Amino acid sequence: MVLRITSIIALLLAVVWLVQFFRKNTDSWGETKSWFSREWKTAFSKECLKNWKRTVFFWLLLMTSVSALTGFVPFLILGAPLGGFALMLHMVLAPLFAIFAALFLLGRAEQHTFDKQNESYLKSLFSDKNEATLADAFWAKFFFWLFALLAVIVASMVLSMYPILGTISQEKLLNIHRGASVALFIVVILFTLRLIRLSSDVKK
Amino acid sequence: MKPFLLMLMILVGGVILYAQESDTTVLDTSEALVDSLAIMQEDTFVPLLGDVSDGSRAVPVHIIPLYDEMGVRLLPTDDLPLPFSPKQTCATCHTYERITKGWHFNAADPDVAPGRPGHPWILTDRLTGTQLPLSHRQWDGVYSPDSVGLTPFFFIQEFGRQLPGGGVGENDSSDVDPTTFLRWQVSGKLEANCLSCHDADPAHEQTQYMTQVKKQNFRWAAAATAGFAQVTGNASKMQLSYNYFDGVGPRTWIDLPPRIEYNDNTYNSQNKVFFDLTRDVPNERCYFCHTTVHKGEYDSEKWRRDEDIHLTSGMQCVDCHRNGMDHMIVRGYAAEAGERGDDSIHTLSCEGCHIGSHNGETPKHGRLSAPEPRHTGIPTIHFEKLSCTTCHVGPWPEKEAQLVQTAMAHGLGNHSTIKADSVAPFLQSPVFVKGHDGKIEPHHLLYPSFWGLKKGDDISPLSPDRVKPIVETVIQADTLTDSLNMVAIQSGKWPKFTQEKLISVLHALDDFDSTATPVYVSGGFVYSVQDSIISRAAHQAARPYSWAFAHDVRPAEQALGAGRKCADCHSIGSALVAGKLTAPTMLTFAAGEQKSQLYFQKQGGLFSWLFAFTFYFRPLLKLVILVSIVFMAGVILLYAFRGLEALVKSN
Repeated sequence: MVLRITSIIALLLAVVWLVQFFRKNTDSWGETKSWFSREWKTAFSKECLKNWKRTVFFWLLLMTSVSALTGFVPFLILGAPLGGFALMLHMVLAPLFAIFAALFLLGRAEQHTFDKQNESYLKSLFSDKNEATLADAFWAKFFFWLFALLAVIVASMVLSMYPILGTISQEKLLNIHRGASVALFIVVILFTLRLIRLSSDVKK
Repeated sequence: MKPFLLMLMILVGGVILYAQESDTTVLDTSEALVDSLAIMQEDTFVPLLGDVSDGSRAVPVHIIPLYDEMGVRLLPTDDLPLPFSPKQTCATCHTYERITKGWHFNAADPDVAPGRPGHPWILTDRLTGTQLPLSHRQWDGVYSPDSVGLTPFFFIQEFGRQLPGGGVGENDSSDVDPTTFLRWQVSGKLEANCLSCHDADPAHEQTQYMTQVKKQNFRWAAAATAGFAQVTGNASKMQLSYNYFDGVGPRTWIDLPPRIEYNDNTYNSQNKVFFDLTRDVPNERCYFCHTTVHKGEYDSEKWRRDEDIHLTSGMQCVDCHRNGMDHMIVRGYAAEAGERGDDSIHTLSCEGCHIGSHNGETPKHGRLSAPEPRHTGIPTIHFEKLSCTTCHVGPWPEKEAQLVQTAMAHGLGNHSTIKADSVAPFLQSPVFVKGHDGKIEPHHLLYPSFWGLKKGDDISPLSPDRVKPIVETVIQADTLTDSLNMVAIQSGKWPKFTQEKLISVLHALDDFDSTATPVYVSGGFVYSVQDSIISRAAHQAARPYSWAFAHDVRPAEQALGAGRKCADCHSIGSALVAGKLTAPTMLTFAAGEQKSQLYFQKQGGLFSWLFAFTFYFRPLLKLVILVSIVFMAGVILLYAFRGLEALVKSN
């Protein structure tokens, strides 16, 4: 129960942060909407293979959202184990999530390697230097790699279906899966916002 | 950037906490049951010599004087030997009133909460096609014995065969009918028979209990089971004015008054009697009332069958179903500890004993060396959706639920048992039902079948004794069918009932109450007649009553999931998905309703079919995820090493 509440608080904080973010950055809401609309069109157009990295990220977002919806609603809101069509959808989408996550990492890992600029921004966090202009680039990379780690942890739930782990280990694995999923969902939101801001900065 | 850091800390903290989360059991607390237990533990209790142990593990030897029901000591020199009274004899050292508040005796006590639905008494009359679940406990779907005229006197005459006495057996004051009141005086009370459970004497004969109860020899019933006494005579044949002290009555060969004789060597030189009593009740004593026989078992010899794995391993029923002096025997289901407000008994349930908490506390599980199951490869969602019994208990589920017989329903172990597979009442098992705690568990299930009167939307059952003369007349109108029906009834089945016969009986029942509609409830429907046309309708009164069972436990190697793995349950043709049961009925013109196992699990048919279907390509899905993990982990490692390389080179 304590851990369920922790997850709910984390999600609520993320929502509050999002609202504040959009209130402070009034342009961002419009940018976000137009980004989604653009990506949606790309994902379903003939150009999708040409822009495969964008398409993969769009589908990854979709899979993450549906998996989160089918997983969080029963567990966090109803306090019940997954069941019915939600469970079935959750399980059928899991391999798709894993495929898109793997492709996402393969396609974008190189451009998300940390460089000297990121290092100087990191150092500025612990000094009086003001390097705010480098923030989005750093955090986008940071969330990318955090996502990569969490995606592996979340997907490792598949191990429970092989005769490897006993009940106690399986329960721990399930709890790790639940906690990591909440974290992953928030990280994906934060990463996406950074990505949208960076892409609009590039355009400007 | 501080909000980011704060949020990250919360996220990481959340993940760590999840990893540390233990399998704490949420206990369902039933305040009513806790209250009722509190009532029993009032401070007014003053312990007697045998109520409190001094801690010695030695067994106290019971060489004790016998007392009759008036508390007068019995001696071998008595001119007219009287039956010893368990109440008076045992109450010298044990508080009888405290013991008889226990589960075996307290069904009719209004201060006791009903608890989890359990095995009802089943009023069975084959001629009238009646099988009606009865209980003094107020479980949904059962009827009060009073509703069919079974006041305590008649209730114990019907079901006392498998009751340990006490409770209803001593409730003579609730029978207000003068004749019945006088009958109580002749029969005496059916006191709690301590010997039913605690007598370890091999000569103990529990079947005598049924024999004496049927003859209304209530006062003599307990003593008749003891190996050192024999009871003859029949109190039901005595006049209402009969006084058992007189020992006089009609002297025909069958109508002897009740008499007891003690074996010559019963009393020792101090006029005391040795009782071979044990605290650890032998399994055979429990089995007398709690045996279950599954379909096909009459066709095979006993050596071909196995018992519950716990008993085979050398355990006894009472190793788990324990009790203190209050005789509130642990029933053993997971939520019981919460309902009783006693966390210590959780370790006497399946999961409490076998799994435990692993919180770093003093280990409480693993009692009696209970092995901890690993359940490798079984996702934990199973433990949230299913009780342990689903996979581990009862016969292997088949496409059609099997008929099952129980001692309480069929009087097994008594002299008049019909030894055949298909005998009324028709209990079906295993039926996988979503239980009161939301988990699916195996149940025995009974479709009620009875004649009744419908007023408004309420249907009240009629006593089979009232309907029987009418049914007999109707059946006997057809000589050929009559003879076939009689054969069926004698072999434990119901007669065949045609449309004409049903109409005739329902018309005849019109005379019972002109303001009510006579009905016959059977096969999951309610049948009534209007203008000689039979109509059939669904009704709550026709819904089946079911209760969880937890024995016999199969060994782990024979649990569901051990054979064909997932496909034992998650396949389109598995018994849990495609299994069904048909409500029994004696009507020849209408089949009983057919329900799938999924209906009782509250699962949708489409969902279950689709879910089972996914298991055909699930290995592929799992493989896809594994390969994806390998790629993701590879990318992370690759860049981690590159980062490490950069770090090394920068220094």
